[in-house]
Amino acid sequence: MAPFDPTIGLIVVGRGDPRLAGATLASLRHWRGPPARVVLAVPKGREHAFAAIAAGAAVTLVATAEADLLAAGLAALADHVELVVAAPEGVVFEPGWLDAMRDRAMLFEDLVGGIDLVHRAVKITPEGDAPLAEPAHDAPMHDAPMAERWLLPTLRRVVRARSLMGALLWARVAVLPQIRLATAGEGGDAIAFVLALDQLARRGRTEMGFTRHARHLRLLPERRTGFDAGYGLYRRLEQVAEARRVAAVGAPAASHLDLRVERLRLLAEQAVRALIGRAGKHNAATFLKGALAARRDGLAVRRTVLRDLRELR
Amino acid sequence: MKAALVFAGRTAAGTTFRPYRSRPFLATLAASGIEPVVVDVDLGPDEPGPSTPVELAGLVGYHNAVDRLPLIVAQERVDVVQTFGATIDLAPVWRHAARAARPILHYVASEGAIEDGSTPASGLIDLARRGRGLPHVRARRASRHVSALIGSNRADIGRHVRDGFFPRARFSVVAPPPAPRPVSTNGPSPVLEQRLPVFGFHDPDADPERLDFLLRAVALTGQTGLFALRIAPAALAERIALPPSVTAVDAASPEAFLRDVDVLIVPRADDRALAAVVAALVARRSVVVPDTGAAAELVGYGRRGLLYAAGSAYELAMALNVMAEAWTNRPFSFEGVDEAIARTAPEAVAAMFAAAWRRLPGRGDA
Repeated sequence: MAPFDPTIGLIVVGRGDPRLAGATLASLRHWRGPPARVVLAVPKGREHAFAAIAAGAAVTLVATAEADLLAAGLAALADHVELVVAAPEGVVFEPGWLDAMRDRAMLFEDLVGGIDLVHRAVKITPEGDAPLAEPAHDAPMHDAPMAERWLLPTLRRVVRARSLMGALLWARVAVLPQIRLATAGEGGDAIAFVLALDQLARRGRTEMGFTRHARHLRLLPERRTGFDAGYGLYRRLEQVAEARRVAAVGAPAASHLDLRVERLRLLAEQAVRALIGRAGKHNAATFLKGALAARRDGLAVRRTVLRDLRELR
Repeated sequence: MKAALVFAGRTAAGTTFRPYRSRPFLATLAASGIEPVVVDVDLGPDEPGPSTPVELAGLVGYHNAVDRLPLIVAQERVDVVQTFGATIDLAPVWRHAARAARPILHYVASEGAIEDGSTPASGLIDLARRGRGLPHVRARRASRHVSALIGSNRADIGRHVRDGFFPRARFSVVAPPPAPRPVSTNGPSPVLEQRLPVFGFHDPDADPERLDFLLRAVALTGQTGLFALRIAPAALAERIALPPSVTAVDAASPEAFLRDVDVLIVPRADDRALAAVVAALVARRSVVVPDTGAAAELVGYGRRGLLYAAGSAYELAMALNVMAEAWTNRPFSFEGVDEAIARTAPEAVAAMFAAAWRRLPGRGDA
């Protein structure tokens, strides 16, 4: 029997920063075999910002509504590849990632997909809007100081909310029909991936873990307010938890993400950053305010619904 | 190369595992340079192993107690031990086979697979769960001796691995359950004359639970006069009171049953339903199958048939409605169906087993 040597397609989910998407695409040169097809999925109306990168890197640009980025990317790839990899902008591949993923897929035919969370981060302060200097995020990790190499990634694994981490999703295209691939707003890629993986778990074995073969690139200083991001992400987590509670009457479905722990992690980490962080202190404080406002609003809505139900009796 | 095919436990004599001791399967193994040795194992005085005769003449066969398994393996100088049976029953088989220091492969089928747990757990948490106890924990512990997995479908293997089984499996192979190639019955669809699609349910095991599930779904469709339902065998009608729109018939084979049926409904993810699904696809009939298990893989997860969430009568009802409304304009095609069916031929499945055994290191040459 001929060994299974899959053709691979890559979807890069571009959101707002072409420099981050460019860094993700540039890291593909580490792959021993280039992906058969690369799709850059961007929100409609943002095509112009990514056009230069798409032309330079010979990728297919797909512009669609924000919720359909992943699904549209997959539709552009599905007929041509056997394995699909989805990466949000800013996740930089290292050479070992593809080999590790391909080996797992070849050895275990029952494995239908997986998520690799990226707990190693690289923070860069770019100069203006110029493209990123590659060596800054491409240098070998073993040259980095001990704190960046080992201590901070370990801490991130323990305390950081999974929904704020970089994440890579891979799946067999053959098992993806009728799987809902809905993406959320900025910062919600890991959640979207987890929701897809939860559906895939009914069809075969799935894996979720941390990878040492990728890095999450972040641009500093973060001067934007984090209120909207915090509100949106916390609200989305609450909506997912509510949908899961309604769907699982009597028999709670297995999930790759414990949403109670996730919400706790989200609040705790941002609180610590807002108190003792150095860069991005303001962003963390406003993010926390946004998350707390979403929690308050959620409770208020629940209280109102309960009161209305009581009055109906 | 020599391989011991070990059958043990309550389900090993059932229809799920019978094809693996059938003539086409064993003959293909022999033709590909593998000498099979069939071993039926008694797990205890109260649990005798299968005693179905092996269909291939001249084949070495044993029927003995489980603690004799290492002796048989050593005496026959087999290179791999392939186990068949329910996961929970096989703990002593794996433990004794490991004493012979030969690689063990296990075949995971839908029959005898473990039930899905809500969350992965281990140790004492399992004991507190309903339906799980010491045998479950023992089987999981013994499963560490298994070197590789062959499964009839991805979902059942995945469920085992999620629950902590087979932690040392080095690879897994998905080989669909063997289904004999049915005679093509690609005739005209009865709907052309009747103007009403005929849905069919064929269950050789005559399990009333499955029919009850289907009837609940039919009631949930809230439709009358959109489709007719035909069930086989007729013995099912004696166990459950049927609504007036349902007809019970007797059919000698799935192919005969499908001659007068437009759409085959499979109400449970079960390997045993695969023969009927294969017959339906060969006859180019539409199928409605659960979204998990071997049937879902055969229909390409919705490419060649309609899926519904397994175990949900409501979802099945919605699928029936979709099929009844739009069945002349099917939301799927039969593209690639012949290749998928070819993979279920006993000869093709035997070739997958042989290839998997040859991947194991430390085997002797043929």
